Amino acid sequence: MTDIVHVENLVKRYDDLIALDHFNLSIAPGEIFGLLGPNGSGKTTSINCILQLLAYDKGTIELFGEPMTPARYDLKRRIGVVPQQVAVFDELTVRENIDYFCSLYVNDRKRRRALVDEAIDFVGLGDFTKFRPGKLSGGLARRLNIACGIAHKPELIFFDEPTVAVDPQSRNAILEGICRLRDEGATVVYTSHYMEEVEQICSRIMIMDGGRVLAQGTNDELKRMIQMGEKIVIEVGEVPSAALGAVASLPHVLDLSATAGQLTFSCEASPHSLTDILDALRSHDVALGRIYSEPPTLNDVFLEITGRELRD
Amino acid sequence: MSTFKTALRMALAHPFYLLIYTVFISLMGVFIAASVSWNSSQLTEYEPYDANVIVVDRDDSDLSHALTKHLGSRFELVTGVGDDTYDLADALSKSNSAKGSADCVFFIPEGFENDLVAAARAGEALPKLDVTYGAGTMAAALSSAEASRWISLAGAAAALEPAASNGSVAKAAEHAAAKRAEVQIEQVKVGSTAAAMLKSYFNFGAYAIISSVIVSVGLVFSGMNEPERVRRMDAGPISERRRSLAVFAAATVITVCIWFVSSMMGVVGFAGAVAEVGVGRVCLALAATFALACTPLAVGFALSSLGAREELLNGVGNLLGMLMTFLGGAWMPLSLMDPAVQTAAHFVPTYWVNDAIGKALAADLTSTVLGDIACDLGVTVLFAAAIAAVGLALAHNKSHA
Amino acid sequence: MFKTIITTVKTLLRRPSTWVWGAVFPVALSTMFMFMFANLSSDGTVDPVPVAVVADEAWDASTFKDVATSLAQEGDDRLLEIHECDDAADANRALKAGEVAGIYTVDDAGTPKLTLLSSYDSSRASSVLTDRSILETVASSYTQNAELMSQIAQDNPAALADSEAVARALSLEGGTRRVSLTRTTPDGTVIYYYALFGLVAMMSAEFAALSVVDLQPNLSGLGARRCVGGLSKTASLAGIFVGSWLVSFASMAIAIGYVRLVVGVDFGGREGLCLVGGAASALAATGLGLFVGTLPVKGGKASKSGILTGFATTCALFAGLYGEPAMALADDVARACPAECWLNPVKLICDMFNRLYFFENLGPFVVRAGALVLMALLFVAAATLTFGRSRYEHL
Repeated sequence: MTDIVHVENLVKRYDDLIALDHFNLSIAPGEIFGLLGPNGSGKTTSINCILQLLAYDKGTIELFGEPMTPARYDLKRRIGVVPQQVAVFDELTVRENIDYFCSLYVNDRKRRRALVDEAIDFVGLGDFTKFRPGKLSGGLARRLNIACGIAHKPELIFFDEPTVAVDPQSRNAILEGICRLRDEGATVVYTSHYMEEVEQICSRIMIMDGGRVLAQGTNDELKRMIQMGEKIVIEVGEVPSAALGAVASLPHVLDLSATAGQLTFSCEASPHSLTDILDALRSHDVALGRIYSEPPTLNDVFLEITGRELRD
Repeated sequence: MSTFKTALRMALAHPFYLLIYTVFISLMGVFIAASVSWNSSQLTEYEPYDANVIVVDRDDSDLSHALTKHLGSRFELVTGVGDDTYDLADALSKSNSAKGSADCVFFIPEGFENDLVAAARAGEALPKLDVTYGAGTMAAALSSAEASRWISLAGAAAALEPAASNGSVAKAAEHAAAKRAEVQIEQVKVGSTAAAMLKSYFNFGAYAIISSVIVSVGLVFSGMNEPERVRRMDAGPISERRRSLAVFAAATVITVCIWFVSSMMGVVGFAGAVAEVGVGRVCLALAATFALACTPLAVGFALSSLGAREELLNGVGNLLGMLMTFLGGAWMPLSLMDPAVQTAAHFVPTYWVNDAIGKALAADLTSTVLGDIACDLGVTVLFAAAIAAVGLALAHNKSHA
Repeated sequence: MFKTIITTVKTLLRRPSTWVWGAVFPVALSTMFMFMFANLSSDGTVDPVPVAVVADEAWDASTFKDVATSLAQEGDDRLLEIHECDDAADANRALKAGEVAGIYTVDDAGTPKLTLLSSYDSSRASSVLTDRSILETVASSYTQNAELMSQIAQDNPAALADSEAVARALSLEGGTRRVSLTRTTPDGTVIYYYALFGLVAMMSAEFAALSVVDLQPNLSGLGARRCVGGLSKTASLAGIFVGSWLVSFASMAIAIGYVRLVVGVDFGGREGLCLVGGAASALAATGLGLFVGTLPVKGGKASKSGILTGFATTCALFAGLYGEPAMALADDVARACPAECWLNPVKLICDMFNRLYFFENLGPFVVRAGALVLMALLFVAAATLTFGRSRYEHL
């Protein structure tokens, strides 16, 4: 099947700064594709290039199997965009705003009315149709922002960090909505620096930093890419330095960090890791408290690849 | 101190208002006041008014030449327009057409000379000369009177000497018309052009001060009064009283700066006039414009208490600046306006300020005059105080609502 | 595109500044002018010049009295308004108080003399100076007749033998007849209203400028969103142009309507064409706004609005809007540089209405309206070029 989005060797420079360094991207129909990376990693720049808002230095961009250029309005009509900022008219009401943005894609008034109503229902703004954006709370304004981008039922939707500064309740509503859009047949490109969100809804994920693609694959594939198989946390009493040396030298332990009352181990995937560690600690008479084990997160993936936390 | 600095920064964050309202409008004032010098208002000997006259000579005779020459000797003869109805009307409409601008056009018809001489000698009424008036009715009436006089003289000359050639009739009329009545000039002491220029500048400069101060100060007050910011600052350790004082101090500093820049543009632009009028008098006039600056300060405060934001402040500032300078007589002398307008003018501070400026720059500075000026300034400051009181009441109501 | 037009109109009408600049501003300024010109002669009639005469015996006996009195008789061509004073002191007082423009005194020989003040209010220079000159011309009639007599007495004494013939000859009165070249009498005050129309139009350029900022990806998020939509940039720009033009035209219509209906300036039955002129003016202004809106200047909306306000007020200054001294300045500039009349939009609009008012022939009006449309086209072309850039280096 043809990729919905296909980008090859995209290069974008801002003077000396390389914002996108031979960026490649392929997105299949029906996916929710996550672009994950810290602020300034090139997520929004890549989307702006794909949408032809930004000029780029090199590379090819194809949407729906056809080359994308600024004048390809036929392709643009199949796309929806939900920008990071709430970008609507302050002077228009909720309904007028959605209707206007829908009119950029759909000429037929009757059909548009139905689409606008549907979009209003979809984001749950039914009680606020006559409000102007200034009167909406932050979460409601975000929902309006989304409604303006999806009302025309696009086949491909770009969500650029739609949950920034949104309360948890609205955030869940937004994420559920995105999944519903996927279920209705849309392909979604979702950028975020919240790894939990990406893990929760994305079928495939790309990790970016400094304009480069660091890794991509499904959630599991990414986690398998790194050595760490699990993270073990043990609450402890006094730990003599000899005990620390003993556990650190165990074969499956990749890394150990000791804070007051707690030891955190990064271990390779192995059925013996936990028992080996516990045996070593007991042999030094270390008092043990709570013990738990976690699978690695995308943050761990990012940490292992770049040597720093995703939220640095 | 930081509230004060922040408030100042808020005004500086809108440099365009300061640039346009303070610098640009003051510059316009310099232009306008500079043109005052062109109408020198002191006369030592009589000179006829320099009306612009077009003569369309369709007769091309001795008499028509002489009449044209005579009109040319009294007035400014506009040539080069030709005998084209459109061009002539264009010149009359004062629309600055490329071919010249005139107060009236005389048409000397074909056969004018013969008709005139024949009518005069037959004792019949002399033929009338066609004239079209332009926008300057009185200048046209003057030119008409002068032309009529000349025709009368030519008629008399022709009638009295029936044998004389048309050429000598023309000469006689020309000679007689050059003889003018004695005009005596009664010398009176007047304000100098320098004073008039400065007065004109300060009167118009009020526009810059009023609009600029209302917008800039209004922006500071409304920015500092924004409910969420007020909540945050109320939670802070600095008392409301201290904060208000700091904001007020910043607004005052902004007002003083605007007043200073606008005033200095006039003082520097008309340095010669300042030297002629005297620094003391100019300082007195500047005191008056400073008193005026208190009013827009109060208006800016009152408007922000009403919840006005940038757009409204900009509109009201500009309109109020225009209206107040108009009622102060900066656009046209109040004496030329309707009595109702003149009465209404008493209710705006610019009226009192301009009165004070006029006296400060031109009148003999006796104790009575100085008293008058002080009184004018007192009234001006009272206006500001009254508006500020309204603003305070509004602010008070709002904070208790 | 239709939806973009509607949206542009809606957003503009919901901004307070649109109402301030589009409606309150023209109404306030026209009202101000109305008061300003209420007392000025604007109907083309001659105002008699007030003059004091010292009504002593010499005056009563002089032939000049007859001349002056005949010119002071009620009628269309009344030139003088005589104030008889008992003595010179009384006349002097009236002169200094500004009640009269001059004093006529007649000496024992019957020769009239004119007394004027050395100073006058410079702001009324032209009217004071014409009044004085009229008085001088009237006074000179006596001396001129006397001069003619003495000249003929020298050349041909026999001609003066018949005193009746002499009296008849001297009573021959030359005169002028007013004819009109234009549809209406030129009026010094209407031009200010036309300059005002020019300023109102140019201030409305802001509508297009602010609307087009909302279409530019590099200036607003809203612009970015609109540019990735399915409507072409040209169609969006055209929609904004038409929408802004409609609002700008409405503002012109308010100004024209107010000046016609409330201020009472007579458009000579050409109200419809005035609106056409208003539409052309709004077109030029909207074009300018569109162009400035797309200019890559720092400071966003505020700086664009600032540029336009500065431009409009400067143009208005050189169209003579700000009172008599400004009008004199405008006249001088226009005479020194005739091209300014075509390049300064406020002046061009002012001239266009002026032509419509004065001339039977609509040609000059059409040419100027055409020039405004051309100006609009040039601005729109320039705006399309700047805006037509398909992608941006920075957002």
